[in-house]
Amino acid sequence: MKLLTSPAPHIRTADSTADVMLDVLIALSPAVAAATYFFGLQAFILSIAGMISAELIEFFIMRVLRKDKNFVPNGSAAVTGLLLALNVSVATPWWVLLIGVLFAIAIVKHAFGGLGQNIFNPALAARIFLLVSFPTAMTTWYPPIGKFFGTYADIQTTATPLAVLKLEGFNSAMQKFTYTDLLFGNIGGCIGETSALLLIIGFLYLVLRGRIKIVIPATYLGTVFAISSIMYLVNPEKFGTPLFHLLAGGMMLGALFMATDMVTSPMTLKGQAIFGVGCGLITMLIRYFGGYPEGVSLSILLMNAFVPIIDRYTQPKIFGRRKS
Amino acid sequence: MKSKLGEFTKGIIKDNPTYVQVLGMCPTLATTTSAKNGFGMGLAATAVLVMSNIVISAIRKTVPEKIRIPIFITVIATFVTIVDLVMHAYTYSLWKTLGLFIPLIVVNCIIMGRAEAYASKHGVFDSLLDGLGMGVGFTLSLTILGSVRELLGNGTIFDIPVWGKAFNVFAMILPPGAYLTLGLFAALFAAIGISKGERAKKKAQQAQKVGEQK
Amino acid sequence: MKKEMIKTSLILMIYTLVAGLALSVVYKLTEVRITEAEMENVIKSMELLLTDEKGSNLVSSEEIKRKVIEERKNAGKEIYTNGVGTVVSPVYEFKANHATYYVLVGYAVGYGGKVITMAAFEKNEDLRLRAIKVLDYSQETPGLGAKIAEDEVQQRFYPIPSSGLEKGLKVDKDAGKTVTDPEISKSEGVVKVSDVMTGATITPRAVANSINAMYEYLKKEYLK
Repeated sequence: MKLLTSPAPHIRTADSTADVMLDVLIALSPAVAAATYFFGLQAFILSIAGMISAELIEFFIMRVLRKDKNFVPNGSAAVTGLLLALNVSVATPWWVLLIGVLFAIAIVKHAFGGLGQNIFNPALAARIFLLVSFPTAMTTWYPPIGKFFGTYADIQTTATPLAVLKLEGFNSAMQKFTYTDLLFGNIGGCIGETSALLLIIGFLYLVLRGRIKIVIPATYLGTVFAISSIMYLVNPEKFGTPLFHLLAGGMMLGALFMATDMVTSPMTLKGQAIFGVGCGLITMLIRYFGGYPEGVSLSILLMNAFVPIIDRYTQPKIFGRRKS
Repeated sequence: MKSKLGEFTKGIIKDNPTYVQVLGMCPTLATTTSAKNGFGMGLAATAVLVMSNIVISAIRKTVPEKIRIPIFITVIATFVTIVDLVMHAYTYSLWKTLGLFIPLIVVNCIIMGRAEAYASKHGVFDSLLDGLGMGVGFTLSLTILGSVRELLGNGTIFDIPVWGKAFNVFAMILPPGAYLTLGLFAALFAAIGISKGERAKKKAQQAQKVGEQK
Repeated sequence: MKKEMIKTSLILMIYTLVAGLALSVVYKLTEVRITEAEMENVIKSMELLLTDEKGSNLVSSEEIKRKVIEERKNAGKEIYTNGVGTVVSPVYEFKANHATYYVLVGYAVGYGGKVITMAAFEKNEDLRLRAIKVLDYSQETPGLGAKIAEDEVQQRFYPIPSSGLEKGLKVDKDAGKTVTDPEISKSEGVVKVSDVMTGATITPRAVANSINAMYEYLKKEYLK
């Protein structure tokens, strides 16, 4: 059994896990609204389906398989389910999402010990699993519709801003997408990642409620800004502007909501800073020089693996102990 | 006679080399991309295992303690090479598919493990049974693993289409799928072992109670 | 101490000698059959390539067998490379009907290793690609690159008229074209595989590269 330790003093709050999870769901609702606006009814269905199926699966696992008769749903599964849904393309069939939710809840979360014990972010690990298992479904992007609960009359595919940057260069990307598009979300991509603005609004809600570890997004985005600024000066056409990289792809969703996952991120402030810098570094490496389309997810998962050792080495010194 | 049968059957479930002893992982993960490949590898390894167990058991009294490992390896490598040559000559397409993993049977821990732990300490017939049992267990494990991976990843079993390309989960055929399936099967075996142990304990407790009442 | 060392060395030597003897016996016993199996593989592939649309042989099996055995000593050497694709000796030449057929073996590097392809070219008035068979794709990923084994996929690579071969074969992703009809694109040297090999371009690209190398070798060196 893992005993969580953190430096004293400890404050007892009246909040339960459920309260925290509810706040996260509230924080994500602007992004869901954006998804429904840009990608229509199917995006909404995927989001709801993700949440419900995740809670059902967790209920079954806890009550039946783990024989915990006192288990009450606490919303953590719903958050995972929603985050996974927001991380897939609107072209993803519902049963593919279901397989992903099953993988996230049953294997990444519960096979590793359940709430509080898992090493890897379940939504991200499942997203990568789906990417590997269903490459076409997960890399087919539809252009935004721009109507709440709209549907796609005929289906054409589009390219994401990052893909255009990689294949055609920065000028071409800027011709096809404006910074306003990137900020508001009027671009192709995963249903939750496109609207940077609404993600930031949700994040600010969590900051106000005191639910989130601010150091991680600050260091993550800061590192990304620093690296992309340097690389922009080296070769603007190939590498793109810092603002572009902050707004494009899964950067906002990842830095604000995925890297900050309570369970899989470091406990101390120093550790969180190391975590954020590491994520930023690896993300940019993959984006610039790697062949994979998912820099943010992969970098966070890699850093997840380092969290135990980061926690060990950033343990604060205990008062009253002699140096031995 | 019962104990002789036990020597054979222990390799299938109780001491299953793959899911209980966790031996021979490398070929297990690599060759179970389909049921046929897993089955073929299992058979080849079983052939080597049985032959080497017999020979090592036969020579066990004449092998000096200090150099038993080099001698065991010589024996095992000889049989692996023989199997490789024979497969090259008579089962060409399977040989081609298994490729590099046939010579790698030499370093398959199961074979060296049984040689050291059993064949060098027991008679020839017992060693034969042990090798056969372990080999059968290994082959069954690999075939099941290969079938699951092939079914989920390709929609076929032994190249017979079950549901075709409809629901293919590619990751099952790739290494992650191998690790996942292997881990889940090992968990299954462990769960069976635990529940058996609990049942045995309950029986023993009940028997004790009855004995106390008397 | 010394006596013990000598004794153990001697015993080890005896074991290795016996092992060596056993192996040489088995080797001798299987030697013939192994060469036969290898040649059978080559012959079978060639027979597959040299059949016409109705399924009858363009070149008789006996002649194929004879040619393969004849060229056995000469086989397997690298005779040409253009940097991405390499051609292996020999060129099997058959004259039949009113055409000459050339069967070549070549390879290129795929995802995990070499992808070896056998190609049959036909020279009538011009030089065109008749058929191919991918012989070795063992290093490619099962389910992805290894799908190159399927007939449906390999049939996208042939037949290619000389106009396509002249341009140099490219898979549709590399050519940057959206192809509606795979048959039409062949005359432009574009091989459509993106629909049957989703998510795997490296392996079919290797096949295309090896075909190009074989065509270049034929055109530039062999048929001068």
